[in-house]
Amino acid sequence: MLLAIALHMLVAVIVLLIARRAGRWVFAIAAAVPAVTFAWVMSGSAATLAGDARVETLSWAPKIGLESVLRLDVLSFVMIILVSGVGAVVFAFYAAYAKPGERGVGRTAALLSVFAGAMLGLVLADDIFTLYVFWELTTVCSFLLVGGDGVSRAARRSAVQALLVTAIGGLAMLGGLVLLAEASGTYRISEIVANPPSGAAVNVALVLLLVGVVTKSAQVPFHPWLPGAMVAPTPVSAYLHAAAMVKAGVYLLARFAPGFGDVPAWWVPAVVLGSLTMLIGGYRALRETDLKTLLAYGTVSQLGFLTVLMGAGTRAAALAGITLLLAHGLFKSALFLVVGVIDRQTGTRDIRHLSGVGRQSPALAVFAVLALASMAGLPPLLGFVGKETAFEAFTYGGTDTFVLVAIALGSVLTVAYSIRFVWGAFATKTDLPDTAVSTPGIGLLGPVALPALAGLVFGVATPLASTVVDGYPAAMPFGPEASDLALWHGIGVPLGLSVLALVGGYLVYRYPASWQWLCGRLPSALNAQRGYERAVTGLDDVAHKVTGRLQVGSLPAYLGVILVAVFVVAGVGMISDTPLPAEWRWFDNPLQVPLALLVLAGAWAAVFAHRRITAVLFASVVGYGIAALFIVDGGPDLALAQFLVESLTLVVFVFVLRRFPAHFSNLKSIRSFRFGKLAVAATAGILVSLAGVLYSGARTESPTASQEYAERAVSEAGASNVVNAIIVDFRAFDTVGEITVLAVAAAGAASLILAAQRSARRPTESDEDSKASKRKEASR
Amino acid sequence: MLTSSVLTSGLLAQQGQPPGQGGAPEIDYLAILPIIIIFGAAAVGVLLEAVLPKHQRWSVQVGLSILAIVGAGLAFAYYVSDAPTEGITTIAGALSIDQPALFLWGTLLALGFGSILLIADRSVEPGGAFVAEAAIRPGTVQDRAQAQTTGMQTEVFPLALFALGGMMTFCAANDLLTMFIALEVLSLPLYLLCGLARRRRLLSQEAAVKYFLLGAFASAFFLYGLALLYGYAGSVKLADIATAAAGTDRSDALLFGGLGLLVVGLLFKGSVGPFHTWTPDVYQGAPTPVTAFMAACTKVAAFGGMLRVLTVAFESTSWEWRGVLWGVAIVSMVIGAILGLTQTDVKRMIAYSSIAHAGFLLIGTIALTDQGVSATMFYLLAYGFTTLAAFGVVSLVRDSSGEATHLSQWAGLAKRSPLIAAVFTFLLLALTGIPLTSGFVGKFVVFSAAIEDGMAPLVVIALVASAVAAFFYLRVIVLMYFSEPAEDGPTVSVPGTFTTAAITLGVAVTVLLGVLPTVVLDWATAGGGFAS
Amino acid sequence: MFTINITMAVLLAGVYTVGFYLLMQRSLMRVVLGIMIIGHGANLFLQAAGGPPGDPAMVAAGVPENMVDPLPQAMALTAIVITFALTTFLLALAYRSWVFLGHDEVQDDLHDYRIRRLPRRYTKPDSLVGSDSEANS
Repeated sequence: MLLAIALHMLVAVIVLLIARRAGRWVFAIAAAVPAVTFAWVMSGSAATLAGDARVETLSWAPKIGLESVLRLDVLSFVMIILVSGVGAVVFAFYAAYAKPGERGVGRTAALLSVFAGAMLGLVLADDIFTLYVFWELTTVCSFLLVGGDGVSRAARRSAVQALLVTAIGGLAMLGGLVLLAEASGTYRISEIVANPPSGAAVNVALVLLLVGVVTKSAQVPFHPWLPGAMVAPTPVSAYLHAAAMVKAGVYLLARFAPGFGDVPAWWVPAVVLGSLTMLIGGYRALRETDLKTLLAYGTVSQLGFLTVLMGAGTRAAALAGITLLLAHGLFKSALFLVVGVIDRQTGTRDIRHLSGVGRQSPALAVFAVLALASMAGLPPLLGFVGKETAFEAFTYGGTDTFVLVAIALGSVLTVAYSIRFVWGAFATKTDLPDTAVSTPGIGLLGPVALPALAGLVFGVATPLASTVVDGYPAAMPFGPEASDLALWHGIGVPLGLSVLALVGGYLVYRYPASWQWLCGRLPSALNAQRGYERAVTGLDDVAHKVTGRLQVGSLPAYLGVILVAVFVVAGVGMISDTPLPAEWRWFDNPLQVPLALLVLAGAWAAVFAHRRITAVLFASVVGYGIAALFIVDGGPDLALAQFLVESLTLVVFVFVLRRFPAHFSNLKSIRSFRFGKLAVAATAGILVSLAGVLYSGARTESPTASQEYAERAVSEAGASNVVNAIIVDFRAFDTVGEITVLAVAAAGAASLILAAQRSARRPTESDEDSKASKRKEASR
Repeated sequence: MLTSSVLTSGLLAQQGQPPGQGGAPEIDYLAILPIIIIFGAAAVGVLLEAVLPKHQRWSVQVGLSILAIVGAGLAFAYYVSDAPTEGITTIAGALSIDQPALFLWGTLLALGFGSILLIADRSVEPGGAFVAEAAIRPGTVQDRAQAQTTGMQTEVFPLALFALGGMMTFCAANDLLTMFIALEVLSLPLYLLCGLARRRRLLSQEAAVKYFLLGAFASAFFLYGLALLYGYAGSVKLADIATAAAGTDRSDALLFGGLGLLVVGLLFKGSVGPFHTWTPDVYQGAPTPVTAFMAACTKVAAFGGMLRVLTVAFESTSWEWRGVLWGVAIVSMVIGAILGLTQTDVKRMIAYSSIAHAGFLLIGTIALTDQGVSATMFYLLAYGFTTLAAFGVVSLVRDSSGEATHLSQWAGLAKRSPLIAAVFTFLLLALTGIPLTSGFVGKFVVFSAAIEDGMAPLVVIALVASAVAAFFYLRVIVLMYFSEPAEDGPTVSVPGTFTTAAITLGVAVTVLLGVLPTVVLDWATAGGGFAS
Repeated sequence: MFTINITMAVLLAGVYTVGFYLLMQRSLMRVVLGIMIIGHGANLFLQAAGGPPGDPAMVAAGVPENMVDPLPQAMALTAIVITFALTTFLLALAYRSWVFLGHDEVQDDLHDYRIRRLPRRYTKPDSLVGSDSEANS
């Protein structure tokens, strides 16, 4: 299995390499891999269908429990029929569909090949990470395929929308999967499903999983990306948006249903959204004039149907679900290919321009009708068999009845738009001239015929279909035993509903007035496309507003932010349990008072000085005053260092200030700003002071380390001055670091100004000039 | 010179010894040899700057720097090959060379090597990204002349080595005072390096000033935190603080006040929101190789330090402070993701992405389990290499006036230079956390450690933040692939050997850690934990 | 001995308020002064926190019981030196700013200013797609 996936990727590279020489035949080469895969899986079908799941494990990072496990069971088997079987057919079709010498075929073929490999991996994956990897890989491939070479704006927009919606859904799904894995203690999906965990976290996980399902399978309210993605080439749509990728969501639903089918958080949203989607999709399909968009909405509707069936979580619904999954993949890919043929041979796919195509190309019409009949649920096709089973699954009363009504209504719409498709594509319209059709060759017709005929074969040979799909519902633990698939169930509710759907569908098609009154009456809030646009715009809008507020680009503001943040982080915790000091005193030594006043006066004056040199002098008053306080406090070394450094600083300042203007530049900040700054500064200052008070309050004795230093100063360092001993001996490593700091600062300061001594002169350009040049720089 | 001081200090530093054993020196030279080599080379570099003639300096300095890092790497590898699992402390307990420290050293040396390669490149920008004479006024005749010269200020090499040595010391520092000094040693050279860009020198100067002011501010907080904790515990050693915190008879106000201030200083260096404000301006203004160095290595050092402080000293009180750091992590992720959306400059965008990543890293950091520690270290390694390569690519896209960092200039880049666009796309995907890149494994290990530790809500927020952040990476990818290139758009320089090597290194590690993370994870999770 | 010295508390609060206030100014020269004053404050803080005044920490000079705590003093010495280094370095930066710009003020970042004033060009629903005109400009 791993080999098959790797083969896909390898062929993608090969295809890219030979694209220039091989032209459109690269698709034939690309088709070989899914064909081989399909054949290989079929060859082992007996064992698989007997319930013997094949498992392959690749250890990736066992340390953290990351391993890649692939597992082939019945559900995977059915999906592979679509992924590889239909895949091979579509690839083959593309070889005939592409125009000779068409540009970009290599890229498309390679991407399709990668996509087919990713899809194969997705349906085989048995651990959540492999699943997620392939899930997102299909998203990325879809993005690149829909976007094409990005020339048209519509393509870009659709590609981005598809990517955003499905990728975000994928992330939600990952979140759900991780929570689920944590709850059950294993990353293996088969084990999670076999022993499903429960609890509130699991419910959250299931809802997140459903987000992944509904985004990928284009369910309300995320459905608009699918019709949008129709800008992709038609064969791409046939594969990605009918057979394979959009089924991934439904597949996920089906994968987890045996474990969680009875959890309300799982099945209620799935059934409700699925029913809504089925109706809305069907309704929109009735209004479209573009055949491809019509099919896209039809797909949305059918996916809703599948979501209902897979989500319901009963055996009967599961049987119907997997049958219709197969049926839908077959007939919908055939129909997309039909649209591709029509588009290629006539140059249009607009209902309002097509006329007489059926008369000119009867073979195409026959296959199309065969596929449409399966979609509409006409016997003896597979679609009919599936739909009968589906109706039967909801005949048990209770809430089922609502679902039954919804899917019956949905089926009415399906029949109606199927008829509309036949009429629109093939009818000869009296008021239109016949469209010129160049007859499609076998290369185009063959791939259309295969899936269409497969639907017929599976329908007629119901036991064959049964052997393929029966293994899946058998694994479901919930709901009553399902009856076998059959063309004839006897006269009963299901048959009645089938007939009703056919008749009703015809009537709806015949009398458009029956639904047209709805146009424009649906509340605009239901317009999901607008919802998507609003969400994207809103995010951008919020981001701009927040940026404007937070990233003001002003240094004072940043400092203020940091100060305020510190209050919150450190201050609140500190104040919240501050024991108030038991006693207080004015001073320890009377000399402290005049010195403190001196320092405060110096600091105050430094703020208000207008001349630079005055400010510097006042600031050094602060320094000298504090040095004096050190002497009072019993720190002569400290005082000495402080005096020295203060003097040195003053000298440096004087040197630098010689070159500056005498006064501070007169840039007055706004009054309220000044008060704001003052308030922040004062709060911070008081907080620091409080910390200091606490600090001295917390000290009850000289800390052990200090005592140790004092004891050992003489004995080990041979010094009587303990501070010196600490600095040059006990903590010498830090002192070395300190010296390094000084050295770096000196080297830095030197390289910043030294050379300037030579070239420095008074600025010749005015301030405006340099501002302008700065602006210019910033704009680059 | 420096070696001998270390030696003397080591001989004299006996503090950790119980009385009576005072004679024997307790210093493991082999263990700290990498640091000694780096600092020694830096000191030699400064001397060479003074004695060598100008035209020889570049080649000698580059050779010396690379030699030093490789030498330190060899010494490191030799030591690691049979280092004791439980780690050792040395230089009187000032440094703790344990398994996390060694992992971070390895990471720093490897990232430092890549950064030096970027710094040394002279082919992308003739003469290198650094100014030839830092003091010349921009816009003058001399300035235009120096822009044409091929010289550069070669003291950037010793400065970078100083910073690297400081970072390594910082990761291993076992007491707060050593940590503080290491913080200054690593910061000062960076402030200076920020201001030495050859082009757009005013922005560069602005970056240096801002980084310096805010950085000094943060260092001050660290120092106050240190002081408060000293008051609380009566010691600056992490282990002593832990012992003191385990007792209950002291004022918790000092402990938490001190921790808060300390952590603010560390968060600032790690550019975690709301202490991130310097990041975009500085990342944009600094010469791109320096930005790469800061983005990759400073983060490693800051989070390495944070891991050690929180795990060793404050584990026993974690339930008291963890709530606050939850909040900080959320703020950082949200700020990074939301503000990143509005950016129009590539370097600023990566800056905001680094703020979001800092939030993710913080999640792993506050898990405080062995798993959390190893996950965070793995993430640091992965993120470091990805971002290093990303800035390497940024330095290649240029127009006549230097680097073209405005996003509109990147439109249609894939058509002009498919290879560079593909590499950058890959790196952006790694930053997003797409599987098969190191970014995915990193996020995976961090988030699983967090979930294991009961932080599921935080992980859900982190996933949402990743989703939002994916928007702006995507915007660049879309722009590169799906837009028509501008007429006079930038060209992609052919990278010289050095830049090519650095980018290749970054991309290779990103792929390797994405596909085969086991090797490194094994090392990161080898156990041993912190020694103190 | 849980007491508090009012003079020192007021002094600390005052010095720090002035320091922080100066730090939030636009003129780099004032910012340097702010850093200096905060540095002084730090030393004062360490000193005040070191306990009440006592004999100098010299083994020969006093009784160990009356000695002030030596370790905060050692830390304060470190802080003094580092503050000096920072001050010098910042002065160099300020000087360079003045040489480059003709003034020594820290200005608002132009990029941030722009983003605040940005015409809402990114707020269209297809902002991610990039308009065609943007690609050509």
